[in-house]
This record gives sequence, structure tokens and C-alpha cells, in this order.
Amino acid sequence: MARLSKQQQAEIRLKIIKTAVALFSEYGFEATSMKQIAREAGIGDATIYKYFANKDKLIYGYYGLIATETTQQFLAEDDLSEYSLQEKLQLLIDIYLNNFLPNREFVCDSINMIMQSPSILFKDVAPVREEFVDLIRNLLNEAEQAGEIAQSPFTDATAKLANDYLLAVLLYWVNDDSEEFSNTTQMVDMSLNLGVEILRSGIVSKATDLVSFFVKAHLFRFMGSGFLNKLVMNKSFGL
Amino acid sequence: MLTSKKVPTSKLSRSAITGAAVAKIGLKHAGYKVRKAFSAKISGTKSSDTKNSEAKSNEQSQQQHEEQIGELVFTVLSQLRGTAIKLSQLLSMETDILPETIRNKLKSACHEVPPINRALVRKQMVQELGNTPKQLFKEFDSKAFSAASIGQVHRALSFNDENLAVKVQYPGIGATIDSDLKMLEKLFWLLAKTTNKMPKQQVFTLLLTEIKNRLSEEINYEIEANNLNWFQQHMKLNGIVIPKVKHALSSARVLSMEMLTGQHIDKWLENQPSQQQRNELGQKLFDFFWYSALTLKKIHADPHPGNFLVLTDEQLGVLDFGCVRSLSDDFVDGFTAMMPKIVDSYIFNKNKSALFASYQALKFIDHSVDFNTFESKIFPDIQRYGQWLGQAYVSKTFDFTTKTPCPGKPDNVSGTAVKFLSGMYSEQPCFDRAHLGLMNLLTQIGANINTDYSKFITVK
Repeated sequence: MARLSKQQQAEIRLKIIKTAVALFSEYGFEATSMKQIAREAGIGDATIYKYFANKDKLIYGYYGLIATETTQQFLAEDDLSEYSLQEKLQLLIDIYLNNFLPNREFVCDSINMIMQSPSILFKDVAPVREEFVDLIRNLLNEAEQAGEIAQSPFTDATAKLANDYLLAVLLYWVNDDSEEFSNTTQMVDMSLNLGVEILRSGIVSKATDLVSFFVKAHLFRFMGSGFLNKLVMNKSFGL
Repeated sequence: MLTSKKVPTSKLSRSAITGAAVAKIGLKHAGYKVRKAFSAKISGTKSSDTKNSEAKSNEQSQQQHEEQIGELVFTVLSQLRGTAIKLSQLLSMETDILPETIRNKLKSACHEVPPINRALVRKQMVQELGNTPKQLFKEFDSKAFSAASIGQVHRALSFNDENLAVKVQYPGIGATIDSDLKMLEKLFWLLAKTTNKMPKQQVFTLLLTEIKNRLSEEINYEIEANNLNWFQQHMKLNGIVIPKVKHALSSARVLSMEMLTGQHIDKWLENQPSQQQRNELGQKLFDFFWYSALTLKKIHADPHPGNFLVLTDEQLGVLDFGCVRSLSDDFVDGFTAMMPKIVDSYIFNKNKSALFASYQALKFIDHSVDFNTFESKIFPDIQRYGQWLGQAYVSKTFDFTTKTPCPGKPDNVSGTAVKFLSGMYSEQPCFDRAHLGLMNLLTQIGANINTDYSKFITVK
């Protein structure tokens, strides 16, 4: 492996993921072995483990790949600068879901697995989420600078929220049985409209002001009630 | 976990919306009954001209009642976006099938059109034509220049430098139509129970079926493209221009066609055209309609001012062939046979039995209605409408500056006529709507034209 260049390694990695997803789609996740994937991809039975320790890792490898491709395609889009914030986010989602489309069945199965499995696997998907956070933070910052939305000290939090929203959209899409997923399209259209409207109004900062006032003014009472303990406990579950 | 719960489909939440409105209408109806009893009591205490004032206040409260229901219907419809707009347009036929106040509410729904933003336009293009607007056209204006009822129209330039109008449909509008119509059926059913002016169930079932068929055609732009081609081939009248379809850039949800340059009739009228110009344009519109109806037996069923352009060389450009209706031979024969009798009966007050027979032939009334009932209950109720309908066809020419507006409401408020309505040919609603549109346009233009359509009648 040391003799291979980074580029070559990346190509093999890509090939493994694509082969794995194709096999998972055809035979199912359980019925597909690492050996099968390696042979189909034309690499050694042992070599595959240098790239992916187990089948689970292949799943998030796939999600990571789609996220990277989506970001690249999004940034390469013509006339992106003419898009409004809402249109940009809508475009991002559109590209994202379109990239999943060829393997929709596998996506449905694997999403269900991820959502049902203990937090270990779920955490493994986190790198995917981080990638969009950066992209969305940039979009939000641009929109703030252009005066399209109100300045907010919580852009980072908003970016994370928007990123979770992407995951929520994916979940909705996976369960969408309308023709050409038009329900997802409309849901995204309407919910983004609302979301961007909220950002535009600057209500986020105002709401946070109010919350921090309450926290500061009533902190001691909270401490006495064990509420904070509960909050911390919840946080440790990754919520 | 998250996925174990099925996301609510939009149909469910939509039913919830109607459910709420249905409940509300039920309450309003209860209120109406109380008010009706109350108003009867009040008018009963007055000594002078009791009967008259009672009728009057009854009429008033009925109207209020209809308005309230209309408002609720509108609330429901406006939550359904595109489909509802189309439905409302189709339903706002001025013929007296639905109560006036309800029709008015439906009409006002026409102004709301859901916008399709840049990202959605791009999505629709990629989905339909496999590429982004940027790659498909030399230039593509992502701001729509005109709103269509279930989509919007963009200006574009092809790589061959042709100016195009590109109609893009709102994504998912087709998928929602069925559930929307089911809800509308529910609403109609309820309205029939709460106002005494709704037609028989069989009549509004027929109306709904017709609307459903037209809508399902209208959401398929391939059908519209075929209509455009068909009319282009068969329209032999001079001075009528129908845009050419750009098939390579069209699909079921995107329609690219030649951009016609001219002015919409409203705009053209602002420049005070001469009487002669008005007459010429009016004649073209009139001939276009009757030639389509009687010779081609297929009509453009959406004749509102926005769908006609006065081109720079004074030719008439016809747009939007989404709603086109074929007319059966029987209907055309029946209708052409009826028109002279409309004139005779309503304007010259003679030959009513022939009109009675015509109404039967057109299936408006069935054999349970005898001539006496027709003459005493139906005829007076729709006399004003009949006069209005016959007006333009009394002689071979007609000056539309003297045209009276279409009476929206029968003379008396009893609304009995509609109760006798037993049915009609399925093309009747579209035909009526198109004919009404024509009359309104000609009146707006103030044209003085030859209204003898008999030259277009084809002999079998």
C-alpha cells in the first residue's frame, strides 16, 4: 500500500465503495461478504481491510462519498452567485438526493439500519454531517454579508441545525412514496421558505436573547431542581 | 425510532384541512337555520307588504350564508395551491350552476399562483429534459415573465437564436390533483346539504368528472404540444397565429414554444385602437371560436384576454392550448339547433315548445319535466340568461357596445331552475365557459361584427 500514491488509494477506495453499494443493492447488506466485495472490485481479500475495517465502515464511506460529490457538484454549479440563500439550499438538497437516487433502495435499508443501531454507527456518520456544516456556514456567512439575512452571533449553531435538517430531509425522502418524490420537493420548498424567513427576520438572535436572560436570571433555581443535571445527561447521549 | 413512524403523507394532512372546514361549514349552517327562522319572525311582525320584505330578508340571509360558505371553501382551496387555482377557474363559470356568491369566492382564488424559484426550475428541467437550463438554452431568464395556472412561463433563446417561451410546471402538481378532487367532491356534497341552490348530485358528479378529465390533460404538456400542432394544421382561417412547439425542448412538464411578439388585448385596448381595428380583431376572435366549434369540432376552452395577443402585423396570436375540448357531432347538432330557438323564445317570446324539445335533446331536462313545468318554473327563472345568450344572434350582425353583462343570478331568488337540471353533454361546461369568454372579450373590445356562424356549419 505504501507504494501506491494518494490518488491511487483514493481511486481504489472509491471503487470499493461503488462495488459494495452495487452488491448491497443486489443481494442485501447481510448476504454480502467483504470477500465478495474485494473480488468484485478486483483487489486482494486482505487488501480491502486496509481501506475498510468492516462492512459498517463501508456504509458511512458511501455517505461520505456522496457528501463530497454533492459539495463539489454544488460549488461547480453555473450562476450560483445569482441564487438566493433559499435557492442555494434547495439546490444543495436537490443535488444531494439526486446522488442517492441510483441506490435508493440501499439508502432506505442503510438509513433504517443506522437509525436503529446503537449510537456507535450513528456517530460514525458524523463526519458526513460535518462536511455540510462548513459549506452551509459559508453560505450563511455570505448571505449575512450580502444583507440577505440578519447578522446573528449563532451562525455556527444555525449551520449545524441546517445540516441536521438535511438529514431530516433525507429521512423524509426515504419514506416518500409520492410520484417523483414530489412531496419531498414541496416539503423542502415550504420548510426552507419558512426557515429562511426566520433567518431574515433576525428572530433567532432575539429568541436567544430571551433565553439567555432567563438562564442568567434564574440559573440558581434551575441548579437546585436538578434540571441542569438532566440537561447534561441528555447531552452525553449525543442529542 | 425515527424511521419506525411513517411520515404523514400530504393527502392525510390535506384531508385534515377539509375535515376542519367541513366541520366549520356544518356550524355555519346551523347558524343559518337559526337566522332564517329569526328573520322570518321579524318580517312577520311588520304589517306593510309582509310577503315582500320577508322574501327580501330571506334572500339577504341566504346570500350572507353563501358568502360565509364561499369564504370557507376559499380557505380550503387556497391551501391546496396550484390545483385549486385551476379548479377555481374551471368552476367560476358564470352559468348558474353554482350559487353566485360561492362562484365569486372561487374566482378570487385565481390570483394566487405559487412561484417556482430558480432551484425548482432547474430541478424540473434536469428531471424532465436531463439538463440544466444553462446547458439547454443559449439564454434562459430564470425570472418568469408570466404566470400560468399550474406553472410559469420563462423567456429563453435557443442555440439557433430562436426566441422561445418556456412553460415550466410546478413540481408535483399532478400528484396532488386526485386527492384535491376527492376533497372537492366532499365539499360539494356538503354544500348540497347546506344550501338549497346546489344542483342534483348527478349534475355535479358530471361537472367534477369533466373537470378531472380536463385537468389531467392540462397537466400533461405533451397533450398541449399535440393540441398546438393539431390546431396549426387544421386552422385554415387567415390571420390566426398559433405558436410552433419546440419538441426537442419539451416534455410532459416543460413546454418550449415559439415566442409570439405582440400585445395582450388589455394592453392593446389602452392605445385606443380605431373602431375598424376593433371590428377586425373581434371578427377574428369570433370566427376562431365558431370555426373551431362547428368546423373543427374542437375548441380552445380558455378564452381569457391573457391568452390572446394582437401581433405587430395585426394578426391574432392564440396561446395556451392546455384546455382543449372535442365536441361530439350530437352536441354540435343539438346546440346549433337550439340557438335559433333561444332567440325565438327568450327574445321574441314564441316557439317555446321547440326550445323545450331542444333542452331535452341537450339533456338539460329529462322526461320527468313536462312542458307546463318548463314554462312556469324553469323558463322564467332563466329568461334573463336566455336573453343574454340570444342577444348577439338575433340578426346577422351585432354591435357588442350594446351587449349587456351576463346575468349572474336568476331574476327571482328561488333558484328553482337549477333543481330541474338533470344533466348535460359532458362538453357543455367547457363550451359554455369558452362561449362566455368570447362574449366577454368581444364586449370588452366593443366590436361590431358579423355574428352569423352558420357558414361554419359542416354538412355530414
